[in-house]
Amino acid sequence: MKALIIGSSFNLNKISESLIDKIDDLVFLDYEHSEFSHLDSSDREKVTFHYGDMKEMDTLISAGLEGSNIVIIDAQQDIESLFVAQKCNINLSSNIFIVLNDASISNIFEDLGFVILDSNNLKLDKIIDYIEKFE
Amino acid sequence: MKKNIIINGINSESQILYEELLNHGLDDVVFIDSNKELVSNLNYKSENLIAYSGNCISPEFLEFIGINRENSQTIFVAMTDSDPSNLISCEIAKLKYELSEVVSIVNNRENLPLFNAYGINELVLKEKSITELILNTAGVSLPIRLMNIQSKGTSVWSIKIPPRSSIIGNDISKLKIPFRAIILGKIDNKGNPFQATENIDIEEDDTVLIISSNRNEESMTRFFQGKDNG
Repeated sequence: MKALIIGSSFNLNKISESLIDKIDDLVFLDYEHSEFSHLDSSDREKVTFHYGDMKEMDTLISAGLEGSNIVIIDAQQDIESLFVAQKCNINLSSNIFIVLNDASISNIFEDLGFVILDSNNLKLDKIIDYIEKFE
Repeated sequence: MKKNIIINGINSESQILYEELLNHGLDDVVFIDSNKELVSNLNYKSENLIAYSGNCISPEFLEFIGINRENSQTIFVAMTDSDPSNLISCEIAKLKYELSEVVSIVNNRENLPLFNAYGINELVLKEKSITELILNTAGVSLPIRLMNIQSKGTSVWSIKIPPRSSIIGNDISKLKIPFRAIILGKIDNKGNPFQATENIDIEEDDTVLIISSNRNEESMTRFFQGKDNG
């Protein structure tokens, strides 16, 4: 299974740490180089880093969007996370998870088919359920 | 029913729009922007408080500035330089508040299908409009989309007749266009309007007004450049 992680927030660090054992390939995409110090050296074999403008389709495709089974997004602002998620959705039928700061708009985007995670009360059960079903 | 208009984004274009709205008697207009300085500057220059600083996707903020006002039809216009801000704010206006009048500028052509895919159909492509205007000024004939016919994929177009177009000298009422279109008329280089039913020849620098499907844009370009009309 291949996961594309877009952004480098603390929450994404926590998520990737929890998922690393369950995933074959983990691709991180952000605007610039970021440190993922929680990943130990054995885990790093599974990990690839890409840098570029996450709002551009070329960047998303070069980061492996088309081959990804799961996409998890937490950009600096909710607007950006939601925009990138919708951009990913145009070319992809995989599950897209978005970490949002403002949970009051969750239902709008859940109705559009996205899975919303609340950054203030992060629970990974939805992601883990999806991965286990996929396996 | 009364109309109130919310403009997301303070910039020169949105301020020109504001002046035009006032000229047409639409005076219930507010600006929103996340940049406090822009908001403060605009309010400083205005007689009334017309701009508010806040998060354009926060329901609490949008309700505060009147997106769900009773007994009023709200029109939401997204004009920021950021496509993410334009798209997401329009989606919230349309999907959460069920506004039917939602218009957005699209800054990057790549994002046009994204707006359409999520139901934001009243769009102005900023990059394209500027390019079109410059090319037309330089003598290259390209159709300019004046107005989208709501959700029909059809638009009202204007096209300037270039010097070497082979339709120059043809009677406008007898013009045979090789795609489905309605010719409304022409405006000559002095600004005089003529209906398409009048027996009058098309001349260099005329502007022809047409209704046609958006998918005919390239055919229109070829036809009026003079390559497809022989």
